[in-house]
Amino acid sequence: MKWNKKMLMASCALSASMLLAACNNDVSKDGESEDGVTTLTFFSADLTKDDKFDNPVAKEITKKTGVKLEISHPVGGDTQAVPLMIASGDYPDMIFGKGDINKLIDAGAVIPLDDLIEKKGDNLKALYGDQIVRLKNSTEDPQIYHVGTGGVQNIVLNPSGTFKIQLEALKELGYPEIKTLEDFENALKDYKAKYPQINGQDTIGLSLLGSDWRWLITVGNPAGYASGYQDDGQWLVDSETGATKYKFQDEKFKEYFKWLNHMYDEGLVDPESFTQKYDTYIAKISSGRVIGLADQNWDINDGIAALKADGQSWRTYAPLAVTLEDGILQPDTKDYGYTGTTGVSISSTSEHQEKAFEFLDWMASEEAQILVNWGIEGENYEIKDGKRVATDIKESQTDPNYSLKTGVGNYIYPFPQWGTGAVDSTGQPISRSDTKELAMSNYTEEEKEVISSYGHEVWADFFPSPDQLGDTKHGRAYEIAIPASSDLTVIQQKADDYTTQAITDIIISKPSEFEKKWTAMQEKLKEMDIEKANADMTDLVKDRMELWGN
Amino acid sequence: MEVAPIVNQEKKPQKEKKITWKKLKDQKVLIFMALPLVIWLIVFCYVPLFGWIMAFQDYKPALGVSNSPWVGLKHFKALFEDELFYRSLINTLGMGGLGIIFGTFSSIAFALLLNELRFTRFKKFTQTVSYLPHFVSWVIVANIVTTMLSTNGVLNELLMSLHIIDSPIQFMSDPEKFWYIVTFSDVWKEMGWNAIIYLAAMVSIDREMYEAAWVDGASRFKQMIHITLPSIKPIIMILLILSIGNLINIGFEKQMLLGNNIVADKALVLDKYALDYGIGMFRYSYGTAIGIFKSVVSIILIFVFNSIAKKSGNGGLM
Amino acid sequence: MRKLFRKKNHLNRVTGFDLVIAAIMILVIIATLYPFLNVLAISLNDSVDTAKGGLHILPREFTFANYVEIFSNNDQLLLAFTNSVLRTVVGTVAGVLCTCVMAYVISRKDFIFRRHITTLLVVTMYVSGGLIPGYILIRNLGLINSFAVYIIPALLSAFNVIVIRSFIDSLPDALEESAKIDGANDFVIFYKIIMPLCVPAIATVALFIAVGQWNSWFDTYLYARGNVNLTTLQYELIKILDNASTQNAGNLSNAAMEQLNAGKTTPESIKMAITIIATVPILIVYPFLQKYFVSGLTLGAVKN
Repeated sequence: MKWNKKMLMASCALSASMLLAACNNDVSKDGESEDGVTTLTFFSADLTKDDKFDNPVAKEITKKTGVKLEISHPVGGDTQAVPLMIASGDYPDMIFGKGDINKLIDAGAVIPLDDLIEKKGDNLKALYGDQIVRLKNSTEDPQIYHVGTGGVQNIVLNPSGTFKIQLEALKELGYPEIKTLEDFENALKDYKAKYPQINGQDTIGLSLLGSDWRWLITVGNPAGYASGYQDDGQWLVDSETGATKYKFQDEKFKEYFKWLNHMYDEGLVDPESFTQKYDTYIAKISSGRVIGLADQNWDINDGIAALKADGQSWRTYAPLAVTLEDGILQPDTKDYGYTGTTGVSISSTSEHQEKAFEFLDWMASEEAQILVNWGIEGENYEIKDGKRVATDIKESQTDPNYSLKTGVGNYIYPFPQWGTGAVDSTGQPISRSDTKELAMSNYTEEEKEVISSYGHEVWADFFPSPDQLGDTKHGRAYEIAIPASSDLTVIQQKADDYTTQAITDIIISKPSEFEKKWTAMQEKLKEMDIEKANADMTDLVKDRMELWGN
Repeated sequence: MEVAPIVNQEKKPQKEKKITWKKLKDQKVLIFMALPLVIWLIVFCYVPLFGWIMAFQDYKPALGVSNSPWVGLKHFKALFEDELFYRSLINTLGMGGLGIIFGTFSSIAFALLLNELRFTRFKKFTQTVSYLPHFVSWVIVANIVTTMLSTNGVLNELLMSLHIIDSPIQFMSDPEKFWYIVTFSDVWKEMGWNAIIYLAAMVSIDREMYEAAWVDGASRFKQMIHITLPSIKPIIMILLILSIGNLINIGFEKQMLLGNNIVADKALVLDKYALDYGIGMFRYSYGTAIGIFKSVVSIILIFVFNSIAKKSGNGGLM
Repeated sequence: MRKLFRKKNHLNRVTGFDLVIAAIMILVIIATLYPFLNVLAISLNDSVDTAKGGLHILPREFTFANYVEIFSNNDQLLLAFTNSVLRTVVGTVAGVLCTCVMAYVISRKDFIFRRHITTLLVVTMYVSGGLIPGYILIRNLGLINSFAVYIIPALLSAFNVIVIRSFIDSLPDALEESAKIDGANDFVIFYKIIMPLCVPAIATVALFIAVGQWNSWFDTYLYARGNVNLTTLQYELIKILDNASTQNAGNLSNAAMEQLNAGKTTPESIKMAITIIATVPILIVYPFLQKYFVSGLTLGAVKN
């Protein structure tokens, strides 16, 4: 068995040498390095792709701030990165912890930034203005622990709407006004009757994706939008008093689901809505036979791309501001301002706290915002008649790796943002993609034809203006971090799991059973202590409103 | 064979005796061989069990294990009072049981039949292909299964063209069918891989036994049942006991991917429940309590079935 | 060899039994080959076209673009591949060695600690401290960010030990007896007599360990991501697989989802290409191991 022995020795040698090599590489980077460039470690909870911070924009950031970022992020859907950090006590210089911010604060892992903001945070102060109170943690501990993400001035030019309908359908039906659920239903019914088959396959009225977490987006949320409620996740908040309740207890939601149940019964809803997988759903959309959808734009990108590649652009979709009845305003275009979304914190163990703060403050400056949004002059844009004009729009739309390669648009989130609707000191838009001109130039010919037939310029024109929708005193309820000691999370999770199943069952059952099942669901929710959850959530919302000086 | 019983009898009283220095010296080579590995076991498998304390505390990462407040059996009480826990337990045991029965049976049957195949290249090709699904992730397999069982999928088309049914069956939205869909998907995916051990065991069977049987007039089928099968019985028993120990540890990936909101009541398994309501919600104490519960159940199952196997003369695990 | 064929006529005769089995095996092949061919087909299909669905075992719009994309975007892949091979080889050799030693020790019916160690071993299969205590342990042992973290925590798996022990148990007792009478010590018996007879079992366990090492990425993520030089192939592939949308379900505002998602969804075709890249090396190596545990006509004869 010489073979065995040789292998043994070989592997011993190998492992020894690897160990040695690895040990040598383990020499920690202490931050200070050549040319006075400080390397700061940064954990970004939402990032999924590696970023070595060496693209042109990143290099420019390093030039201006003297800081290079070494970015780490979760992999494979891991949610335990921050708790593990806490358990081991090893923190990077900066942390974007999202919902884990409370754990980090409890562990003393992040430092309060109030003093730093006061002394050195000119850009941040200018950015948030009065809304700086929204960065505070809570009424018991009103310090600021992070510099928020999420823009302060936002504009929505291409809303996703409550529903979507094929451009082709709108054209065929003579560009009708579709404002209520009834209008939408009639449009689907009429078109389906005219064309029972598209491209050789059966036409589907409305297809949903209710088999996985996307139930929330295609089934749960549209009910809220149709009822005119702003996006508070699973909750409904009275914007004046802060009284909060679980949204599936609301009467308007009942009306919506009654309608959806009726639609299902009529055969206008895809019977596979609740069993099909995402790939099947996209495949259906790509085939061009689904007339209506209730989904967000970012969820159906693949389907739209396939349709366009196939020359079926008339089968792409228009967003609709559908509501339960006239008088209700669809909330998609609402400007929430800075909603208190958790941003980047500086760790207490960092040796470069000041440098990190300077970096973050610089990111909020006009110069930085133009850089991260527009890129580098001469490379990504040029100045024509004193105005910025982007030069590589085509690549940005077709190359999926564009933002990583060039850095344009890559460092907006999760750092402080001015917002999609903000303008710089010369009155030019900060955002490269959210201007009316750009939006209009990005539309396909088909989209342009449809939009102009209604006398509008962009999709947002079909929706209420932000002024009509007002602002929010509490931000968005689902962004409020819930303390770990509360039962609220458990009750809500159970209620979420339960309502997802119960409402699915209600939708696919006979309309004659609707009342009975809906009432039964309400009773069950009460049994599950939903009132306690409502009370707890109300407290949290009210707390936040108070914190924000409302 | 006469020597054996005497040797056994002599050994018995020796086993009963206490561990003496002489014995230790005699077996020092064995002990040296075992020692580093036992230390390894203790360090890597038993030391982390200090984490079980978390189940009796209100653990917070910020406070660590040493400083989190003690709450005794609070989490276990909460666990046993939760309706979802019981539902997930039933689903787990149900699918686990079906999985063991069908999985074991199919792997053994496949191994037996494959072993009988005498076209060597065909045999090797089949064996290689049979384990390929093991390497395809559940995400992909679940997609394939869902598509095949959909109303316009392959299975419905086949059944309709054979006039067995009139209109398509909605397989994926029938809660009663769910357990079986999961079980058969698992068999499809793992049968080939699980058969490898049995095939390896069959390699060492003495060819002469088959010769003798053939001379006696036994058919190939009979030879398979009366020679091959009994020869691999020890390994079957052991794998069976180990699988039973894992009855409660069936994971959650396939149920989650094959399931949907309509069949959710039948799809919730203990590991998913632990994920959603334990570590997924950062309730480490609660999650650890579930973990302890599962370990206790597994160990009880192992010991019980091990004794049953030993008492019935089939040889046991320990 | 020739003797074998000349003597036994019945071995050459094809019976009805053989045909039935062959037919069943063909069905098995169709059933198990399909998913793999499906994955291969999609990986060789244009990614925009894939969204339309409906692909079975042949690509519609053939292209190598998906593979090119994976290899060109990632200069870590070569290093990752090397590390994967290294950890698989070292891990398998080390693992097989430890597993065999342990299996032999507990197979000895006269060993005084036999029952204790066996129980200790078996129980480990069903208990776990959880993610956090495990992490703290590795950290305290100083294994974080070192190559050793791929090898040392993975040395023993109770299941594999039991498999080998079972094989040893099936060997005749007389073997050990006669070796002892000849004056061999335990280690020599283990090494020169028992192990050579357990080749099918060792090959099987080597396969299990090797596949485990090759496929693992979570340990890279947890314990070795601070050291770029330790990245493994699976880890790099999983990172490509990651999808912004599934990770952030429901937690982000729609505006944030737009920002994160714009053009960053991993196309189906690329996901399939990843599966192929991860699996093909195993398929290439497998035939070399297969001969140890799938019997040919002649293997049994060699033994005697």
